[in-house]
Amino acid sequence: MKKYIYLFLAGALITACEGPVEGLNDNPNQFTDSPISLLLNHTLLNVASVAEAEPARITAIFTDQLTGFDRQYGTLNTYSTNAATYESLWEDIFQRGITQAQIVRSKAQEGGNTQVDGIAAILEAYYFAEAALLFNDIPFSEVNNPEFPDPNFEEQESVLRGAISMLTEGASKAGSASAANNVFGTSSTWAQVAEALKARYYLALGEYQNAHSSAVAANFTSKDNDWSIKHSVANYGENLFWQFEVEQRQDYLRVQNSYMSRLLKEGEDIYRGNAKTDESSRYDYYVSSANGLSYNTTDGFAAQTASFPVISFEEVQLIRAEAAARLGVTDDAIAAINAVRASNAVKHGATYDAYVLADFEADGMASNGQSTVSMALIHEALFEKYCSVIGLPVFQDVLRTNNAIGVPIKNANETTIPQRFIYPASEEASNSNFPGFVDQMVKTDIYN
Amino acid sequence: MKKRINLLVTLLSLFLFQVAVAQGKTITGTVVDESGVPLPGATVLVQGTSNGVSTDFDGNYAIQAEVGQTLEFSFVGYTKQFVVVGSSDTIDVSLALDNALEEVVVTALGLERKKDNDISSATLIKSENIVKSGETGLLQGVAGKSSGVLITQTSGDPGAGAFIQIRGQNTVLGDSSPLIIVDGVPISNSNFGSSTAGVVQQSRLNDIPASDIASMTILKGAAAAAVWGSGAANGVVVIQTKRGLAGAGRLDVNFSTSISIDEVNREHEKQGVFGQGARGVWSSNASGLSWGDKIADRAGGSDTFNTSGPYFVGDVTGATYYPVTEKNSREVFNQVNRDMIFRTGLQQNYNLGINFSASDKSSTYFSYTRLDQKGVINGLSDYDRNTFRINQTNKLSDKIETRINTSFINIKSNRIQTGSNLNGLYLGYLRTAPDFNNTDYIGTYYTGPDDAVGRPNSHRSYRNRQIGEAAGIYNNPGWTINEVTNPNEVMRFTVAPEVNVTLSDNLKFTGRYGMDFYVDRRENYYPANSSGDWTRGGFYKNDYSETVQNINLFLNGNESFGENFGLNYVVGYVLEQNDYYRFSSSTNVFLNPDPSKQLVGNAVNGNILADEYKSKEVKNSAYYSLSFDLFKNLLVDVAGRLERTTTLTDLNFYPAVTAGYVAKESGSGALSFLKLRASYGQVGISPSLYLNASNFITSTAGSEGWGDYIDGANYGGTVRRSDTQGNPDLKVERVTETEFGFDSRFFDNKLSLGFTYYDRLTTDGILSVEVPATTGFTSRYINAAEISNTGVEFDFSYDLYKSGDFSMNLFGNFTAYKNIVEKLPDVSRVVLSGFTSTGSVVKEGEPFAAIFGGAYERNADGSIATDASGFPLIADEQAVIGDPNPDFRAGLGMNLDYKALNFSFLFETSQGNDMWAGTQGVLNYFGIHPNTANESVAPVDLPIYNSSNVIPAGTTFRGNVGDFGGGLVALQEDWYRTNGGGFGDLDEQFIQDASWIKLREVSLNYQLPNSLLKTVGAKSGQLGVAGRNLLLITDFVGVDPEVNLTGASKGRGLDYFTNPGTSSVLLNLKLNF
Repeated sequence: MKKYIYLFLAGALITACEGPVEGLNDNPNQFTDSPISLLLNHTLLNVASVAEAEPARITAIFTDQLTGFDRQYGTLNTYSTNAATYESLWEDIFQRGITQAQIVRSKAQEGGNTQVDGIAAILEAYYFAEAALLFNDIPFSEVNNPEFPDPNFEEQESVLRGAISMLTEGASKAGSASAANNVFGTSSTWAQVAEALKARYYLALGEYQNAHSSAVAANFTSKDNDWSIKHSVANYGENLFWQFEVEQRQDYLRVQNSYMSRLLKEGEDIYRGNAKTDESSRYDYYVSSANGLSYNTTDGFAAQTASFPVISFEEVQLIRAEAAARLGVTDDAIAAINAVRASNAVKHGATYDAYVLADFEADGMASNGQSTVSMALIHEALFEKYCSVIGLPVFQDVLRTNNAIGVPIKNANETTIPQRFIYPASEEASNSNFPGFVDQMVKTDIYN
Repeated sequence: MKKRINLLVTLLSLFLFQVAVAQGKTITGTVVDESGVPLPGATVLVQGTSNGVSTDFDGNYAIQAEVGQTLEFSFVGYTKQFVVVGSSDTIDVSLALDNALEEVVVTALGLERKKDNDISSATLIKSENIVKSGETGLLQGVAGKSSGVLITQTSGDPGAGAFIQIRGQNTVLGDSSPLIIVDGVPISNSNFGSSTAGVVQQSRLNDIPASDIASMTILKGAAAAAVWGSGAANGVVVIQTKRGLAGAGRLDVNFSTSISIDEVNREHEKQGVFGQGARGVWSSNASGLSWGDKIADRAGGSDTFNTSGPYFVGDVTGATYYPVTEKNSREVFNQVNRDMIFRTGLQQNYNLGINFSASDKSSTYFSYTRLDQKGVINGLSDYDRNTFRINQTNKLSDKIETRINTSFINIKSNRIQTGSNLNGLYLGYLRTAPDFNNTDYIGTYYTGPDDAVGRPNSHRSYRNRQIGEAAGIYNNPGWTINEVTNPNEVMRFTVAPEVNVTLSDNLKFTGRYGMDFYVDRRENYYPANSSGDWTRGGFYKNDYSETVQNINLFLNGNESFGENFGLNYVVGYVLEQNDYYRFSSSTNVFLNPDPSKQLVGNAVNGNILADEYKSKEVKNSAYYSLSFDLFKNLLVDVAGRLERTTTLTDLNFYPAVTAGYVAKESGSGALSFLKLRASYGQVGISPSLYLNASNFITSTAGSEGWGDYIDGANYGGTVRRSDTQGNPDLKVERVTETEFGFDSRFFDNKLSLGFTYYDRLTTDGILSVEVPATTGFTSRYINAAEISNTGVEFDFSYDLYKSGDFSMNLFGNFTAYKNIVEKLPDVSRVVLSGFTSTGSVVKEGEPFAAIFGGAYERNADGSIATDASGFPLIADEQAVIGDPNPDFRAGLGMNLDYKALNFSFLFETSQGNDMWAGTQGVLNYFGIHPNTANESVAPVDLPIYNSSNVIPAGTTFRGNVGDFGGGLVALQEDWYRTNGGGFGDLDEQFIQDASWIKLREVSLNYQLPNSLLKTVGAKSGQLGVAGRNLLLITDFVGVDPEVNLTGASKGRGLDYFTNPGTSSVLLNLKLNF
């Protein structure tokens, strides 16, 4: 019997030896670290997930720039959303955006690369600010920190202010470096992009003086300043609106009968064309000439290789115009509006003659139904932005102004369009500091 | 024939040789069965020697033996008989049919053990019972034959895999399939690549033809499996392949063939009342909906066309198609479109098995099996399998015996795309409008009368303005089954040498090596003009290879310490290694769209991508298994395994203790036999590879859930830290089980009953827990889940009647289990399979694989909450809406023998299991489901969904009158196209009871008479006819509720445009020479 016990012990000893199993759990298929340049490039690329992808489509449906038509988008057109709708956006912002920006920043700081630190700071600020605008309170100072497994939610306004100071910091570090790179095309520097974004967020906060100052400082003088995501004919390099309609989800999303298309369509009661303005080319820019229902994927905003502006010349000028009008600086407001119109004339090859003060007076062609020049200018800026910028910035305008431009409510049971994005169920399930769900029809704090 | 004669001469000379050297005398006699019918081919062996012969056609034999030696008479299916050679030169014996007394099971180490001495809850399924089923898949052939074993086929596609679940499910992330041991060595049973789209995958276990199998033992309990440690948490299936039979000069040739005819067993119905379009108006381009005009109200005659512009000439009929300007035709094409995609499937199976022993020192089993199957889908759907096996045993000396089992398997198959997939068969077929004829799916598109060239290989379908001007939004089903190709080839080689050394009378050493190597090459080719991503073509190749190797060395011996204490022991060492490799390439946007050649290089560089995955996993273990035999009636087994694995470099120990008490073993009387048993055991599941570290991965941006995204590769390369945080401290997932049961026989062994209760708990289940995205990760691996699994299993067999030529046996089994996710901390749910909106999930406190999705908002009393109009409100949060686990499953069968006839049938049922009728939901949306074609008269003013309008009382409208508890409402287009349809948020309305009863198999076999057999020189033969799944009783509509969207995966209970199941009738012939 003894000998067998020895045998078993021998077997056990062989087993006890780690040799055969050691070191095999080192993943041969994945990298476990990365050079900073690729991480930064990701952080840039990921901006598309927020600005150009699903969030842009949803907000464009809410503001009736576009129409949710088929399948799930038909339901979305009546504002039917739930805690699952924004799950991936939340991840795109916090995990794929902010976290990666912070990894870049810590690597840059370790390596003493101030410029990359600054660029990453601007991107981090962008993600924070856009998230705060859409979701209200969000985690800020406790994000991506192993010490905080359940990050606390901080107030919307303080997040926005934190983001703005991060933009200032980023601009000072990245400064005069060009904001053009593998992902973005632009003639602007990082400092200009940072100022332009600051203008957007000051406007959201209703701080018109600061918004105006930043818009001026951004110094976006032409479409070349647009900070735009580049697209190409390469598979999965194409414009996302183009991919969505042409390759993935034909007819889910249309422009058919949308408020925006009617504003631009000759013959409609609300047509914005007048003696100085011919919107027919811009209509064609958005609407497919093939069927009049789909959006234009041939030579319009959703063409295969059309760049998608994250912040554009038009937006910056119209922030300046609105802020100036609200500050009573009428001339500057008119100048900014005319700058956009001049650009439109080139872009669309159509008539956009310069407006003069009289055009904004009560019976002027650009009074927008308003009785005062300043209100006419504010509305002109809002309408013009509504017709030039697709997605998130316009959604914020409608929320901030209590729907001053009269976007139709597409659900008979509601009195407003959705005012915010609902927090995702994943955060509720896993974060003990989750503040609770708030209905999408409740305004966010800064607009309350 | 000449060969046969040669063989006979050889045999004869061997026989003569034996006569020459043997001492003693010649015994002659006849072997018959209980009714006196001679048994040809029965074995007569002189015990303790290798001297043996077979009986001839008339059951006669002659053998050399000495007085005092024992002759052993055996025949498959009969009880062995032993007769001591006395003075008489004639020994006639009558063999009794085998019964439970002689049943054996095979232990986890591949050693045989008498069932009566086995104290585990193992079930043995005999080869003939699997073969008789007529199933080409080994797994499917086991369905309904044992309690505690759930076999779920994935679809009726040729070669489609099946899910085998022993007891409940035990793990969220780990491998969920049982360990498969063939002739003592583990083989691969991998199943990868199952998802909501693509093609249905195979199960590697189904590579083995049923005809090569001698027996299959299913070890359900943890205690019986503990010697395999972390590989055995899901049970063990022990397969013994056929061996060459002992006996010098022996030659048995078995030939069998079967032809099977398969039909789709359940189909979705489509309405044929309303045409394509929306809002009651015909349109050829209305998002593919069939909410158009009433076909019967059309003018009739032929449609009006616009012949001035583009047109299409079909390749199938040669017809020319112009855009329709006015729809006049009242033709409905549902039947035409149906007949285009289905056919009668055909399977041909040939098997040749040869048992041969050239001398008393060796025996050989050789077999060749060919299966040639054409599927029920009328296109590129087939499965062609060739299998060779050689099992060779050699006796090198009295003390050393070697065995080498080898097999080679080659499978070629073509498969059809299924599921949630623009290129899926059902998606395009079922959504096709009733007034569109799919026949001409391919042809040449001309831009107008002046276009002389045209564009060949254009794709015409009901959603692309119907003249093939662009790729279909969904494939025309003709395109899916004929143009999109999904070939697959498997080459598999197994070799398992073994040496047995007898060290002493009571001690044997066994050394075994096993290698199972296969390559699985899969391709998917989407010609240009296919739907979705492949309007410009796509070609995907995946080459998988896996090598499973192991070395197993053990000592097997027994000791006796007086009458009351016996010990049988096994101690051993095993080293297991698994190497896996995948290489994939994708080619998108073809440079040359000509489909005649499928070339990886047919695209610009940026559109040709390659990818690979490799892994290596090792387990290093020592084990023991001790069986004590105490005071005759008490049996105690103690087993254990000490193990290190790649992911668990610390030692883990898996113990097992089993005790059995034979309370009665007289073998006769009202209670003929009773054995009580109890066991406790632990097995485990190793953490998957590479969960120990966070990765940095290449990235994309956009909305991948919708399909639109930009790839960082097009932007100079992008990398991000992955969503999942690695955890280097993961422990084993431990499954602990306690089991009680008894095996009993009553009324002189006529009735046998087995019962088992088990209670198992998985602790430290590994989970990827959701962590807030705000922490920088979205998930993290931790040991946290607890899954409980309790159940009862019951098997019985009753010889209802047995007299003379006639016998009648009733058998059955019953299984009920509860499989609950007890703990799932920090995770709202884990989706096992399906969609984010509706899926099969694990969720704390809910049954494993529960169906999760959008639910009704409920009032406090549980009734459905409705809005002011009476339509249901949808709960803010999704919830568990169904349980795909059955309340119970049962099988009931009967076996009737009358003379040369055998008739048997087996019913199987699953009761109380839910299924998500995803297909039906979507067919509601499209206005295809027959329910949506009902015409109703509004009894009162009926509210319309999401609208302030009503349908005035007395108005006839298309749709139904519904009542959710808040008054009558109109269920019409507005409802079905939003939340009354499958794209809405109310999934709960599509959860249906999917209980079913199936006539799983029925067979009639006839033993061919000797007179006939003699004419072909056969010893025995059988002709039979069998049916498979001929009857299906279920309330679930449209598809066999056994199919599953994600195939052989942990997630269950989802139907979403899944290819259909089948029923079969087969004829078979077996001859034994």
